Amino acid sequence: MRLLLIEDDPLIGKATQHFLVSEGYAVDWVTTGSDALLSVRTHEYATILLDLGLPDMDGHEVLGKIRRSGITTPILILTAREAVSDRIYNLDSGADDFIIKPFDLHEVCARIRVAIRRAQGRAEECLQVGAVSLLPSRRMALVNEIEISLTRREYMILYTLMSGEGKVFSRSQLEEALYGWGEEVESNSIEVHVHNLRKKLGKKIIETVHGIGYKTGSGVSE
Amino acid sequence: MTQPSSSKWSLRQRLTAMLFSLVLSLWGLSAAVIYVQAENESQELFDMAISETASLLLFLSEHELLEVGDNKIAGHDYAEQTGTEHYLSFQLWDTNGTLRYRSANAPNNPLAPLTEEGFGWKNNDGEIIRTFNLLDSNKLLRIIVAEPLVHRQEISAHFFGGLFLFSLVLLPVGYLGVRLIVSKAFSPVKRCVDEVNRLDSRNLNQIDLNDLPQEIEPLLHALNSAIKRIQAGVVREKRFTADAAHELRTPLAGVKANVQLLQKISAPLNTTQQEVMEDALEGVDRCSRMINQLLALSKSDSLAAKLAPQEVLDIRKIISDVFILERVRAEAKDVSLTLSMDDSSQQSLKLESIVLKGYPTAIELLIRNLVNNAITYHRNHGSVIVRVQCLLSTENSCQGKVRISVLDDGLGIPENQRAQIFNRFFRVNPNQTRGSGLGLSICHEVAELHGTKITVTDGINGQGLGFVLELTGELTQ
Repeated sequence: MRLLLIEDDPLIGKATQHFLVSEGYAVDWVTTGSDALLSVRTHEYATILLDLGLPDMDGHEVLGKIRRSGITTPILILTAREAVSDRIYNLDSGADDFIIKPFDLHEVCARIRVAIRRAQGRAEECLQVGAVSLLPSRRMALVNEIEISLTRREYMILYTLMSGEGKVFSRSQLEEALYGWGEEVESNSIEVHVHNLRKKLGKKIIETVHGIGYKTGSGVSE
Repeated sequence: MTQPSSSKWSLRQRLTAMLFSLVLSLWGLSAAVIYVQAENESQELFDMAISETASLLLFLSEHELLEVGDNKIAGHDYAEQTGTEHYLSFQLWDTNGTLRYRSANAPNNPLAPLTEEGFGWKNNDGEIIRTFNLLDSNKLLRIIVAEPLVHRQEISAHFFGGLFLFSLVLLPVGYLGVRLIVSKAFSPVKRCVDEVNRLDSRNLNQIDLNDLPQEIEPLLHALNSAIKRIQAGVVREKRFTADAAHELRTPLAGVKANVQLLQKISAPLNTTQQEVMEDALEGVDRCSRMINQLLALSKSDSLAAKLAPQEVLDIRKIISDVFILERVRAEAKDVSLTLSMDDSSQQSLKLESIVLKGYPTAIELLIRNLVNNAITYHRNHGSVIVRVQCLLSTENSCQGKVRISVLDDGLGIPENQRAQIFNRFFRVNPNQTRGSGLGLSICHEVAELHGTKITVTDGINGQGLGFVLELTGELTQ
């Protein structure tokens, strides 16, 4: 899952990025509206976090431009303005949610999960494929109710595939979801993570679609 | 809005008085001129009349003397024949100085000096008379005709009386006319006053300057630019509050995010580390609460708050909203929250029958602060009661009062400190650092914004602390 963080304040931006990365997300952090617009055109994001006070343009303008270009990615507003009129205006101009500063990063994560879930049209928090269930709120994978420990990359690949509900993801799409800018991608890393996931959760959990990529399998262990 | 006080003078009254006195003095002056003129004219007319009479009498006397002889004339009194009283009197003298003939009302001594000709005045025992002295062409006979001044004065008085009566009728008409004209001239001023009166918090518009006299236009121009400045001030104040919020919250958000990140990446933490981080986060939260309170205070202080429209307050809903927000905190300390609607205190008076107007968010902030305080400074296990009572106003029969009391059975505040608790940054216990010291100060401001006060009392059953707020509203009926 790749997130775009648009925040001009380095104090907030850096900490938020690190926190979200440690949660397993790939996070692109930009500090200007024009960089943000460039990023949304070149990458596909699971959620966009948008601060309203940007140096080069107003956050509302960025919001409007993203929505006018037909991108439906959930957008979460980070704002210090709490007036009801501001909130209504933001929601009406295409934002999906807003968080008032100073925010709690755990809450930000929860709201990101909600945004992703809603964008995928799911009402249930828990994802289920066969015997494998995934609890994004606790970043936990269970096989037959037994918790399986996963690295954050393994978790994120599983989260991406399971929330795709049988959709096929190419290797580069998975790399997109896993690695932010500036993160080194080893040539066979996806294969390694998939291999490890199969070892931990059973072979049937991920199917290889030859020449294209991966999708969730039946999940039934052998 | 405000009635002109009696010490202020009215331009309209002053103008009416001035115009009326001008009319009055012009009228008086012209009356005087006319009177004097008429007096002169009538003098001349009277003089002419007596000189004509003298000529006629002299002519007749000459004839009579020639025809009838001397004796017949002397002593003959024509007044006795006619029997009517005459204001004119006359004497006929010959050149020897003998009175040949006189009217009945004429004395025997000369009415005028026998040597002088023409008009003259004579004081005859206090009675002033006008005389005319005429000598015939043969210089044998002299006639003196006299007319008492009283006669002339009577006629003048008559004339003056007429003038006076006329003015008595005319002056009220003139006064009313002046008033009407002044009122008409002042109607644009009245229109302006009405328009300015219509200005209020909801309607802070510029005044229409069309069709106004140039005398008051500068005043309204000044007023309009003052309104513009106020509008700009309101906008600036709103923007300042928003900017201040942004400026203060952004660095706090940074600190909080970094502490949370540190907490996450350095896990597992030992107890001390965990505590230090919790304290840091608590500091950030307290700071952010303080900012919220300060902003709320600046909002309730501000002009913008006073210019915002008042809304109908739903006290029941406000209190239940506060309870929803405070429930978790109350449960954590095992403090029960109770709403007591005390409708029965006065027969039929229900909360719904009093229309309260105000600022719902501000009142909610006030009640929430009071409830929050009651919970926060409560020892564990107790209760907080919000009591709502409806009373009839003692001052105005069509108004009702809603008394909202927030009562607790907690630790209370000593009597001698109660006066200070509404001061900004005052804390009962200076060593405890939980609160911002602004909560009650905000409550006080909000109460003032609604034109009322908060009073401190004892809490439940004489224990703890209570706060009482009374809001006044119109009765529906």
